[in-house]
Amino acid sequence: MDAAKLTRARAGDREAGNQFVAAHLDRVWRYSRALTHDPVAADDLVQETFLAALSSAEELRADDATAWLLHIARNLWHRQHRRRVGEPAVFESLEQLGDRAGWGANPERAAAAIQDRDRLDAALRRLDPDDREVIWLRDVEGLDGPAVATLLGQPLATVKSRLHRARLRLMATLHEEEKPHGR
Amino acid sequence: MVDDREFAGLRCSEVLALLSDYLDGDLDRATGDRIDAHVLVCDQCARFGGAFSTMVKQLRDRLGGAMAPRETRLRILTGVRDRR
Repeated sequence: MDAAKLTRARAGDREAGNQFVAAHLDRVWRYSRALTHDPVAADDLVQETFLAALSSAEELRADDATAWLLHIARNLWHRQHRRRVGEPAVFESLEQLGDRAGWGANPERAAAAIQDRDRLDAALRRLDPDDREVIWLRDVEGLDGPAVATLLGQPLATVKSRLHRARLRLMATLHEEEKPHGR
Repeated sequence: MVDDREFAGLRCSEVLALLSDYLDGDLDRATGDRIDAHVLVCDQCARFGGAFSTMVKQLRDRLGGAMAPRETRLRILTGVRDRR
C-alpha cells in the first residue's frame, strides 16, 4: 500500500502524497522531537523528511516505510549537526551500571518516576543522545532489533549491547533522582 | 552492592547481563528457563528484573503513540504540499 501510494505521489498524485504523509506523520514527528529536542526544528525536520521521501527515486519495499522514513530523518539531522559519536568518557561495567540502577539495593525506589510520563520523558532526555536514540527506536517506537540495526548502520549485536547499557543508564537516572537527600 | 550468588547454574551478574535479551525474547529456551529458575529463588534478581521490565514496558505505554497536535499536522501537511 505504501509503495503504491508513494509511486502515485511521485507521479503527481497529490491525494496519494497527502495520504502517505498523514499515515506516517506521527511516528516521524515523535522521532524528530526525540532527535532535536526543539519543536520548531522537529517540525522542519519532519517536512524535510517527507519532501526527501517524495522526491527520492529510491524504491520503497512494501513493508518498511516507517524504518525508511526514520532513516531519512536521521540522516538529514546528522548531516546538519555533525557530531563525534564515540564511547562515553568513563567506561562502566554492567555491574557498576546495575549498582547505580538499584540492583541489589532498592530497585523499587524509581517506581513512582517510572509510572510518571513526564518524569520518564525527562530522564530519557538527560541521557547521552546515542543512548536516548536506541531506547526511543526500540522501546518507544517498537522497531525490532534488526530494523534498529539497519537504521543505525550497526551490527545487531552492537545494537543489543548498546540498548542494554542505555536501559541500565536510564534506570540509574531514575533511581538516582529518587535518592533521599544527603545519602 | 550486589551479593553475586549462583542459582540454577547462573550467577546474578550473568542474569543482569542477559536481562534485556531475556525481556526481548532473544534467548534460547534453555537459557530463558535457567533465568526463570534463578529468579524464582533469588529475591534481588526478581525485584530488579521486575522493576527493569516495568520501565521498558512503560516507555512504550507512556511515551509511544503520542500524536502530533492538529495545528502541527496541518502545518506540516501544508508545508510539504506547498513545497512540492
